[in-house]
Amino acid sequence: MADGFSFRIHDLFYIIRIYKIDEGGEYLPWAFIMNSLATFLTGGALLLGVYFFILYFFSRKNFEHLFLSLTCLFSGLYFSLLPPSFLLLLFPDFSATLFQRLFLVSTSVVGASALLVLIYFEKAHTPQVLAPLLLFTTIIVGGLAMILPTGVLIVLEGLRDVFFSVAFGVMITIFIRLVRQKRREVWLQLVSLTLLGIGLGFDLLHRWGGFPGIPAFGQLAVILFLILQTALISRRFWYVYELNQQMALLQKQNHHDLQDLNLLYARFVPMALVQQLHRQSIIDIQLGDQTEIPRTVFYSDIRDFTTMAETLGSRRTFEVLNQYLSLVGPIIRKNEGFILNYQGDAVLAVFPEPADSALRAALEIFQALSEFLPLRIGIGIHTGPILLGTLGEREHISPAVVSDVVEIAQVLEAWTKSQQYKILLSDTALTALLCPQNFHFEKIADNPENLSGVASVYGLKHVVIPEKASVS
Amino acid sequence: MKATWIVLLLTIHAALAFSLPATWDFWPETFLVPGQPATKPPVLLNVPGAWDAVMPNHSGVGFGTYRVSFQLPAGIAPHEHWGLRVMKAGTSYRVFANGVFLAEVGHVGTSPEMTQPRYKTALIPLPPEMIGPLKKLDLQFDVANFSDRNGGLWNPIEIGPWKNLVHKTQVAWSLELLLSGAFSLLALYQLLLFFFRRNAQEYLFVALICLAMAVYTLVYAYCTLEWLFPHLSWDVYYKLEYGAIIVGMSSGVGYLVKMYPQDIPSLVLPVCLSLMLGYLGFLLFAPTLLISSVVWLVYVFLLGFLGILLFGMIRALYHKRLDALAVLAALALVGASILTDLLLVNFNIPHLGVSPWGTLIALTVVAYLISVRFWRNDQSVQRLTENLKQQNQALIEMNEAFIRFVPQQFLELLTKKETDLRLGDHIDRPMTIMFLRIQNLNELKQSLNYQELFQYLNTFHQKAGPIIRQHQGFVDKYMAHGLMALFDGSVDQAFQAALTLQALIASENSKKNPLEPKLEIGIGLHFGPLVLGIIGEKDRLESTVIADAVNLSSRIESLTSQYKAPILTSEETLKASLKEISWREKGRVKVKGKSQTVSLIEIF
Repeated sequence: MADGFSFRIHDLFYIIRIYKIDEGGEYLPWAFIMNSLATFLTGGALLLGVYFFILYFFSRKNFEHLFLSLTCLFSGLYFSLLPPSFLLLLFPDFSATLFQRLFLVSTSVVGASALLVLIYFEKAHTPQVLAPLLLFTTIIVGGLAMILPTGVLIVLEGLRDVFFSVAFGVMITIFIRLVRQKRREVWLQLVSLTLLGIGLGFDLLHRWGGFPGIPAFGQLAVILFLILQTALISRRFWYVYELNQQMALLQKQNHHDLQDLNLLYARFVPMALVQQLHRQSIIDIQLGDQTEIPRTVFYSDIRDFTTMAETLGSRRTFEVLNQYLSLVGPIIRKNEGFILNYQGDAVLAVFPEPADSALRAALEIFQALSEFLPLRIGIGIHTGPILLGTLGEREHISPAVVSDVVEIAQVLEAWTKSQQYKILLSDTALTALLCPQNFHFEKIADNPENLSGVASVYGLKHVVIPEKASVS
Repeated sequence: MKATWIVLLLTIHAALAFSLPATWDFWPETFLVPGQPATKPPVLLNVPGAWDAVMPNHSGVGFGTYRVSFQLPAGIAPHEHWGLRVMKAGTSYRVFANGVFLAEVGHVGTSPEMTQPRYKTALIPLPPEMIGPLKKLDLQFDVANFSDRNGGLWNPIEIGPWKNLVHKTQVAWSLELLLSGAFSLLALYQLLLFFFRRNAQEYLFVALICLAMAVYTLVYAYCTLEWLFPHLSWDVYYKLEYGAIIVGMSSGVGYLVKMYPQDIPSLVLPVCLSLMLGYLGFLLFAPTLLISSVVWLVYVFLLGFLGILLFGMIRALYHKRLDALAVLAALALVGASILTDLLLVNFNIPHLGVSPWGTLIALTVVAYLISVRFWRNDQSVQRLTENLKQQNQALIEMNEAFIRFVPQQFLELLTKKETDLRLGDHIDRPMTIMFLRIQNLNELKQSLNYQELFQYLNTFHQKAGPIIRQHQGFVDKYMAHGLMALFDGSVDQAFQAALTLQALIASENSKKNPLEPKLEIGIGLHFGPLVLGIIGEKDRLESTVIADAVNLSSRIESLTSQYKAPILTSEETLKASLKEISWREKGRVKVKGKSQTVSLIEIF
């Protein structure tokens, strides 16, 4: 052994000499067991170190993995150097100077990276300056430990121990404060910090104060720290995983809810409005959008509906009304019309300008009513320029037609009460027909009062419904 | 530094020990007196090797004496400290050199009762006086076996400088401990992961493989565990070795079943685990001799599982499953390292055992793969969340576009949860109906273009809506000529709303310059029973109000211009009000469908 060893290294070799295999071929048990334990734990620490490094390597943002990996790897080195050092057992010619330097480096890195694991675990709640400070100091101490002459190393070690004691104190204070704030799992971090503090504190007392050292106390503390951190990391792994799954589930639920809601809401929107107003989507429709177009307006109403409602009762009334609308709606759509709105039991629908489709729809409705639903209705049809648009407030829009055409169709419908014909149309609607030969009319009035702009009123004879208009 | 390590490791293996002759003399069923010549001719045996392998008629159970004589090499110093290293032998022995007793491992006897086996790597020092250049050495081993199928010196016996033997053994032990530690902590980590998520059983299986390997490493070659716990019996170590193999293999199957459930029949795992438990029970209670005589069971078990594993992995690979290639590579690594070990043993090349290292690397890869699998799963979950978020954003936009057309106050009255809404849902209760009509719409149409007209009307609606809502009312629908609103609160609030609306119009009109068209509105109010609900069909829904009161209030409103009263209501409505309000009677009208006349009241 070279001269110039610090007394600790001498201690080490002394221990090894005592516990070396004796002449009987047996080890003295305590040292052998200690050595075996150290070797065992070194294997474990090195493997965990490699494992966490792989984890860090593939997910670079998790710095706690990197520092836990460093803690593990350098703990492995530290364990192999701790008395009775099995490294020296395996390599009796190991350079004593290098041994001393490695001891200093490994303990520094273990201490610093253990603290850094905790810092990165609670990154948001620890002062930002701590991590770079610890890193910088460790690099400096490690570098100096490898190059300084061996005689000065003891000074370096002293300075380092002072620095780490202070850093440790700061960490304990921070974590006690965090525990007081009842943050998740922080008490476990405080426990591991305290464990580390007690273990390494004993080592320090032993080193500097001549306090009777308990073998493997620091080692035990470090390994417990590693196991606790490993547990916390695996727990956090699942915690994050489950949180993300819950998030996905929540979004999925939201998605379904929104879809259901939209399906419902869409039924309140006259989708034809989008096309009529030359928009891409319902989203593009704004309050006040309007367009003037020539159209045939269809207005139907049920005779004596309010009287009927009183005798039927409200539930039955709604049933009948919905049955009626389920008949009317599809027929109107089939004939290229769209329902602008219901007004009580009345239906206001808009059809293309050539009134053929509106008339066909009217006839089909009567046909369907005669087959399925004994309701008496009247229909008024008029053609002319209408102003179609959106009225109301930004949050509550009603599709609306601003035009006399609607009022005339309403008046025509009202006329049916006193007429034999239940479908009345204006001369404008008649002239707008593409195939008037498909329908049969009778003129019932000329220049009617209350109907400015209507020259004559015709009643539609509902006989056979003509086939879809075809211009021959 | 690196080079030093490699050189050190190499020198540990090479040129350490002097090899003993391969052929020894053997006298079965007898213990020769040490130092005395034998009376019977010996059987020639190879060491290492079991005696029952050479003598087909002789069972592995029994006892006998081995002897060998050889000359030490010339290059050694006299009185150098030399020793013998004997690996696990079958199953107890004592050693004599030149007739002098050196050591006994276990207890040697001629019957099962007198014999006690021991599982140990023994380091036996040789007396220094026997060591010197070209000195002749006679070694005698009395071996007895009543515990294993095979008897004799199975393993190599080494002789060499004491220091070298000790160092070599220390290295071997340290490496076994390192490996075992690595396996154990990997097992611990996997167990922790399993502990926090019990349904991720692949972690449990990897942990079990690691644990089995940790135990196996400590008992199989140098049996380091025996040095730590020398008081445990031969049976314990023997059973641990086979137990570890079976648990490790079964857990391997378990892991693959959990990883690739589609590729391996689901029956495999329960069958495998019950076989394992059965065999463990057998191990626990059967004597070691019986265990060793049915050791072929283990091989059948191993081959069977290996077949299943290969079958499963090849299927997984064929179906291009996640990580199948990496897992197969890990399996191949284990296989290749075991093969290397077997070859090295076969050619008698000294080595430390490659298979545990291969297995360790493979297990680390496997452990990483399952972590990464969850990681990837997690990432895909995150991507899904992100996707859904975007889709939901689009849906929300759509929703916001739609909801403008939805009679929300109606829905609130009808149901708690909108999506529970059914066609035909309705409520039946008295409310005040307000008809508001823009009386000069035609005039407006003439003085404004279409865009201005809509803007003009909507500007009014934007102001009217809030006023109506402030008085517990809501708009049923906006129409070209005005709007219809319902008041669910008291009649007084409806009156107040009407008055506020008229006051608003008046103040707006007074602010307008003479060229701008003024707004004239009439309001009709009537309180009465009504039914409101949702009507429509598959593609189209609307809110609707069915009541006489609707027609009546519309009729009342139509009379406002005739009576020159901006707000008209019926006598019934006035009676329903609770607060004092200024009113005057304007006349009586006959309303269609009603037998009685209605008296009209102006409020102001």
